Amino acid sequence: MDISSTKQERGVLVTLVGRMDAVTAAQFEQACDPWIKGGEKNIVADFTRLEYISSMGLGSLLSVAKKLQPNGGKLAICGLTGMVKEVFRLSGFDKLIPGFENADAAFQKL
Amino acid sequence: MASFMVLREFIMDAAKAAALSEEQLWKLELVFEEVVVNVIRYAYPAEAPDTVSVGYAAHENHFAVQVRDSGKPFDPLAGADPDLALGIAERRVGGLGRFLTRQLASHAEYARQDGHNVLTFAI
Repeated sequence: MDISSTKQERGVLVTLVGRMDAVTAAQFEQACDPWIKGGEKNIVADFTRLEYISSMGLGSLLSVAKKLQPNGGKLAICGLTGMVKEVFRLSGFDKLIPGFENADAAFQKL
Repeated sequence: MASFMVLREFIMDAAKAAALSEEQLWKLELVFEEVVVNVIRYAYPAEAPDTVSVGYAAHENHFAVQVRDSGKPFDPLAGADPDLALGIAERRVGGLGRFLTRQLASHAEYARQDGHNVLTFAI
């Protein structure tokens, strides 16, 4: 999985490309941790080019959401598609982590 | 996890050769990961150099997989479902793999046979 993160006006945008599985899931938390430690409150993960997610990936997302919450921050997702969207629905993560069409819409609502 | 990647490639190559649909392929890949990663994490906690073997059978309407290991007795299907109504603070990270396995496999069963854990599922 390729992962990149950039500071935006209203938070941090993390872009994931590829697969979020048992082998790669920890990369997401590792990418977010320095931003959270630096005081960032809101993170938007762009899943437009994420092809696959397993429970390990969901766990990594939940860990980041849990770390943001005490500081009044939030994790949001944009660009849910294909099997990733279906796994979000099955696991109830669509109710847990807010999803948006694109990053701009997500930052507006956070 | 290197062994998991080799096993996954073996199963997914077989599934593609059996002409599974796109939907069957992602369901198979997900359930296979959840089952095998559970076995590697819980049946072999000390990273013992034991064996996990996988086999498959391609049928007209479904694709069946068997995962067999000689680790300590461990049923990856047992346990309560996560409470999907809980919020971020209360929601636990664990239990989701088992839940997805039960949701996505058309059949899944565990047996302890001759000192082995045998998990069979179908997509």
